[in-house]
Amino acid sequence: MRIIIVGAGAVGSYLAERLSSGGQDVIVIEDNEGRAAELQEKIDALVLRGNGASVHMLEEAGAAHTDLLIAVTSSDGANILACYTGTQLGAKTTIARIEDGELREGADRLGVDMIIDPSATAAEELVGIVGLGGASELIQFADGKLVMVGGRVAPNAPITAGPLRKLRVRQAEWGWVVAALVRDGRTIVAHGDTVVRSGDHALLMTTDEKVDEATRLIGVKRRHIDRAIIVGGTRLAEITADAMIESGLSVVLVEEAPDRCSYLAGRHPGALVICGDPTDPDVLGELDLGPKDVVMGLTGWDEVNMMSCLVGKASGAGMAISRFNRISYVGLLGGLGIDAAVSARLIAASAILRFVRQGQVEQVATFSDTDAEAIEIEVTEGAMAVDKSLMDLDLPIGVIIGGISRNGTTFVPDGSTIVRSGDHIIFFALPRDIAESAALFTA
Amino acid sequence: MTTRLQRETLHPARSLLKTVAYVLGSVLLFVAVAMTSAAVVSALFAEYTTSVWIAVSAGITAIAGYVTRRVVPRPTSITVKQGFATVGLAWFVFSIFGALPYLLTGAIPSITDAVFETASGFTTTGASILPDPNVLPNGISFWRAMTQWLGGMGVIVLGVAILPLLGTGGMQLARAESPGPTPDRLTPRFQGTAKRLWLVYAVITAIEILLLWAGDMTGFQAVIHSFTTMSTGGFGTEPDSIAGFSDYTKWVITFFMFAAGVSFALHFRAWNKPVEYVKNPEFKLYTFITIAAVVVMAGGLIGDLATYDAIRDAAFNTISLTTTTGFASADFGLWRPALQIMIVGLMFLGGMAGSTAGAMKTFRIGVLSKAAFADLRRLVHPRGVFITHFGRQKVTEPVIEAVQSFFLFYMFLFMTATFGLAFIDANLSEGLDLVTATSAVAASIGNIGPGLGDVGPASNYSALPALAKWMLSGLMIVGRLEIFPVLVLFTKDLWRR
Repeated sequence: MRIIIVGAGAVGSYLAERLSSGGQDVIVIEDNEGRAAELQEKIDALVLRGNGASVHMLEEAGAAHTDLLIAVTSSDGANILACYTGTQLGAKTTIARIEDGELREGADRLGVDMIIDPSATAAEELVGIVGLGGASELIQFADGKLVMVGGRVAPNAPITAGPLRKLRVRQAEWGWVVAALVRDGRTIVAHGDTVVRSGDHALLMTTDEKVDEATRLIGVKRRHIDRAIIVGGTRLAEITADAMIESGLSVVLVEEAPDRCSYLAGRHPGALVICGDPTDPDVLGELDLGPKDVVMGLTGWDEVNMMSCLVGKASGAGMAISRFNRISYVGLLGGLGIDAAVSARLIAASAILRFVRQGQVEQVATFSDTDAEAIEIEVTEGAMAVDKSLMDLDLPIGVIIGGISRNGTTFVPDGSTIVRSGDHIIFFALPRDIAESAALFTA
Repeated sequence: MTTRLQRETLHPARSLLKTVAYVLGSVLLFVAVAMTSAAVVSALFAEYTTSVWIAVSAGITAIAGYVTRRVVPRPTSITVKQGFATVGLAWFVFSIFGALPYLLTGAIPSITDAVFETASGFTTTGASILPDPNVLPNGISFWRAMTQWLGGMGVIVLGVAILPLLGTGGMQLARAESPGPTPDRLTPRFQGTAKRLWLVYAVITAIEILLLWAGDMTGFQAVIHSFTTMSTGGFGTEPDSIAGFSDYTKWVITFFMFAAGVSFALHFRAWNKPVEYVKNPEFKLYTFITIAAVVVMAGGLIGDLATYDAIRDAAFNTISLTTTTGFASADFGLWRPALQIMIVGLMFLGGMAGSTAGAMKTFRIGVLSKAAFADLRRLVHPRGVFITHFGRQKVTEPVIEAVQSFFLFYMFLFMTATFGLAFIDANLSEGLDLVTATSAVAASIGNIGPGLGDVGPASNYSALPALAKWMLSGLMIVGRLEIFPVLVLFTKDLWRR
């Protein structure tokens, strides 16, 4: 697939890296010389320097025979123009990042097929995380019969008791498999000798009836959250506040600048607006935080977000979520006293990635702190894997088969499981292995 | 965010060796296929014993490649420095496997000589230890030319073109192997670019074969000489190189040597749009340098030769040297001393970046002189702001610095190696004389082939002591890979945890 990405900011360069390592032909157009050069060093894609909304540049990038154009510069106008020009030149599908609600209206008439607003997508994600109440992922596959449960492993959780091979014997009565661990920002593919440590972000595959047992295994206590303390008065904070109110939580907005506070109070009558320094323990302390509260650091400053989360947790909040601008913090700092780390840009990029993949597979899930993806795919008649056991398949190292759904029954497979045509296979893999693995299951 | 899949943190040396083994495994399979083609050629000429032994060499190489590929798992990711080091190590190893046909057929019985001939082949140097290549069986002659043809565009680049060798890692490998600072991209993915480069290379080679065949060469000679022209290698079938062939042949080869010194990415772009040549600043500089050098050389020869002969020999030998091919249409070792000094100078130039030529490359020469000129102007106008341009493109500081340090390493290597070679006590009555040592080193690092003095076009490298041959073999690889991939092997960082 030929993909043009306009703008090599955080979202653009992340997407370019993911898509090119997944085997797509990627062409990036970036105006800034330094950024373009830096990206070209890092990825196997063509990086052109110039204005990505111009007819000339898009022609040079080959928009005429492009399957997908993704415009993710920081300017709404440039993004819409790039999509418009791209469509005129013959690009099949276009995605634009548009933050201004007014511009979003009717953008489809300008040739924009999908609109991505990082803040709105992130707000949705935040509502989802709060709903999980402690687990970091609950992703349903095969019409909800198989579930991927993710969470930060608690100290002394049962899963830390020994190598996985021994644990599997002890817990043999129900099906589960560790798909992957994210430890200190690195993705570790679990095998029999792996020992899970507390603080790891563990991803388990299990069937829908066993979700509670799986969460217990990683020591996550799921709790009900009924109040959200949102730190910061950013657009993300506003959208999140609205979404939280809509999902039935009571919302407190904490913001330092008095002007901004009165604006917020006017715009969000359903929320309590507190004017004060969110990193000052007295300010959060006044709110009498308890286990049913979640603190969300959503300011534009990573330091403030991190500190207010730590202060909130120390003052008794049940859950803390921090937003990071620097994407690499997401995987690195997730474990340090905060329950979940999010990045609006990363979430936007993941949403685009899912959109790109959706045509090819049944279902795809991406994660905040690992490049790996969980993919559901239907085994087609005549595929290489049909009537072979998983052991005999030449799967790339590091690909984990998490579950199989066959004729309405679901199970977690082992090496001797024979693949049949019509099976729905859920596997977990790094981007560069996805195409190779998918090729095994489809003819 | 970049997360990398890791089972455990490997010691860097071990993970590096794994990558090397995996890449080597793949590359050895290609080398084995090429050897098999030589065995087939040999059989066609009814040299059955030779053919069998070449086939055995191919078998050994294939098994070695297959086994390493089976045993070593595919490496998950490779960094830039690992890519460089991998290519550096890999080239040393497959120069040894490439020597098998010479050794097993008995064409070159000494290990030192066989490895020298192979390194000289793969690096497209063209220095030989054979007094008369005419006595070689045709199969071995074909293999000699084949090593050059493979080495010209790069064996690893071929691997990237055909196998998706290591995904993104393949780009790092190809970058270390391609001649010039950074490979030019023709397609979004490097694999597509590698395929197109090899395609253009093969097509131009085929055209040359037809044109040479139309002249006074036999079909076999046409193939051999086309392989070694397009790779700027310089191996041939005759002891006096090209001198014995007709003027037509000499002019055809002159033209194709010049073409081989042009970036193959540019050839590809210009296929439908010949204007691209004229628009390319490096091409203009390359043409200018070539014409200027030919004119000066012809001027120096006119006193001693008839005018037409002077022009023909000046054009042929000058282009042969600047493109680092190393063919000779006359024994330039007998030319006037001033011209010989110029010949050593020409050995440093090389063709365009992205061509098959060796040595410094036109791009670097251009950037170096422009940067130096900018420094001079800075001295005159201390407050002036001077940006170095190459054509219309701005050359950034890091690029200039990289070119300058490449130049520094190149010259430093040239000096120390000359010293080392002169120091090695030869079987000749005293150590090697200065002209021989200087030109042998320049011709090896620059991948030219014949030098002057005792290693001139009318002579060969066989009389050098074994230690000197090993040293020069190493220098050829260092020069072919443009120094850094080999140099990085000696950095502490690479091996440290």
